[in-house]
Amino acid sequence: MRDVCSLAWLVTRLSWGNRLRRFRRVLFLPRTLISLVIVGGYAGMLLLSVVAARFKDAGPGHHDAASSEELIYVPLALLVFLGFNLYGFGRQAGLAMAHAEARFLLEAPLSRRQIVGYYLARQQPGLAISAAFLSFLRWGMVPGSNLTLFFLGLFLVLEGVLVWGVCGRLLRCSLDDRGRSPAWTRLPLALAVAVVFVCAALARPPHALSLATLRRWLDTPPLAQLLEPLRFLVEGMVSPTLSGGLGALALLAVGDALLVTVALARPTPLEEGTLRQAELFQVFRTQGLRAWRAARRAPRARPAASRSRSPAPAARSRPWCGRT
Amino acid sequence: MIHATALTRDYETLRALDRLDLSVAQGEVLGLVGANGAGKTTCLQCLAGIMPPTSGSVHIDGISMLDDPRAAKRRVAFIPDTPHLFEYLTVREHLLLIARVYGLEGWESRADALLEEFELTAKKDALPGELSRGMKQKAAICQAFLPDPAVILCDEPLSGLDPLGRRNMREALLARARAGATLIVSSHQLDLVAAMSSRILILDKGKRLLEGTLPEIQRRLPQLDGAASLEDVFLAAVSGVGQIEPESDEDVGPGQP
Repeated sequence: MRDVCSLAWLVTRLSWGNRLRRFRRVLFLPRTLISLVIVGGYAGMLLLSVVAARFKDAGPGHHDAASSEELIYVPLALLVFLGFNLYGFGRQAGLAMAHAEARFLLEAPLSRRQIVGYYLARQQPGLAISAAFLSFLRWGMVPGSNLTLFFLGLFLVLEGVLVWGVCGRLLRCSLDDRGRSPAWTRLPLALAVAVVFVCAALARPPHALSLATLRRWLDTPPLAQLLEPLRFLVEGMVSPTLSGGLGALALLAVGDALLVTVALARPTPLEEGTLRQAELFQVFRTQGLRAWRAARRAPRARPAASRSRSPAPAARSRPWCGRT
Repeated sequence: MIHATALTRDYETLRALDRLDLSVAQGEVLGLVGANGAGKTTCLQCLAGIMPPTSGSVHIDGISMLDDPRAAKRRVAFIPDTPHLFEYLTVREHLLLIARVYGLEGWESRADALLEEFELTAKKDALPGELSRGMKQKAAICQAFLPDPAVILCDEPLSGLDPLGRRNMREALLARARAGATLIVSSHQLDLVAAMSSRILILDKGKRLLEGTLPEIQRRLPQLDGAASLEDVFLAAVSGVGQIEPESDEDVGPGQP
């Protein structure tokens, strides 16, 4: 697995190096200069406003107030995000990557586990950059916040969401390979929707759409109990001191490790779905959204494993590759 | 070298390969011919381990693609009809990636020789966006040749190449075959297939329609004269006009069981 991590890092490093070199070549073209001024101006203003907010006197209770708001709404957002992530990613089997990358990995002497490992390793720089950007924003907006702690927490949360989504995609691949319906992968989302409706019924809101009603739902069982573990994680992330968030960080790290173990536990037949994803991505890039939608709706080239009268069912049931 | 048994590949509404048996000996060049949708690309993808077959087995140099795919894939190179190159990696960096994945020692001199052979030395630091279609194809071929594979599977390998490039490419492929590599060449350019191949396999709807050397195939189509080209043979075979005589014992190719 170390080999594929270094391979992923090599691809990332080389491609970003070439992007930079290409950018330098087109830097003084009028179009690039105009884009640079617009993006640079926006980024500069954002940076200035964040720094200014950081050093503005916000009063002693500002951090606590902001944290308590986060403790109420962020766990719910996280739960919804996880539900949609499994549902959204679960609809598409295979790993989402560019066509060239997919072909390169599938042709190379790599096992299925190594391909999943490569995919996860390739996402890390993106996760780190996203976590750093959002942490910086929060650091500016919430004086007294701990930048390092929030960055680490957010990175681990994003990592967990990513691997959760990958597990969903692999599950879909596995179901496809066996010719089974993946409809039940939508069960978590259906459950989440059901829980929200039950909470709404239990809370009997007088003003169904108000913020106060939403807060009451969140504080009412069973949603309150459901969100409690996520609240613990968020509480740790927004803690002002590193020691206050170590428990949450440890829990997140263990959860991520567990999810990665699940993703790599057994070699899932991911070739078909990954190639299809890559082809859809290629269609989207070259022909646009309409062609992509049409291609997505087209009948899928799916192996008719258990439904077909396969001439050699014993061979069919064995994993194709990735035993190593 | 390549041995596939009862290779079957089902799609939702289609059986692309139907219990195809295939054997190709070391140093042999097999021409794979068929109409669009006959199953040529699916066959090559199954042999290369890119796409798992629904059933059947593939052995490369005695190694099962099912049981030890990494070792089997290490011996195989696949040249697709459309070159798939990373958008932000240069030609030489693609070769670096291949060297890293295959664990090649001292790959630089070999890479330089390949770039020289395929006239890409001047373009080694170019990104794919700066290359013509033919150059991209040559870069993909360099990638395939770098690990010195024992089996080379070519799916329309000469598409996008100019006449000189085609000739050089054909010579390069044949040189590898003379050096002991096993080749399967799938192409609609039937003159090229006839010139390169020691044996020809005509696929139709995922099944083997005809197989053998060109004279052997000609003998099985009595309505054609002895000077019929592969194109005539192919058209006569797939159109169903006339009869195909059953395979005789001496027509069985070298790789046949």
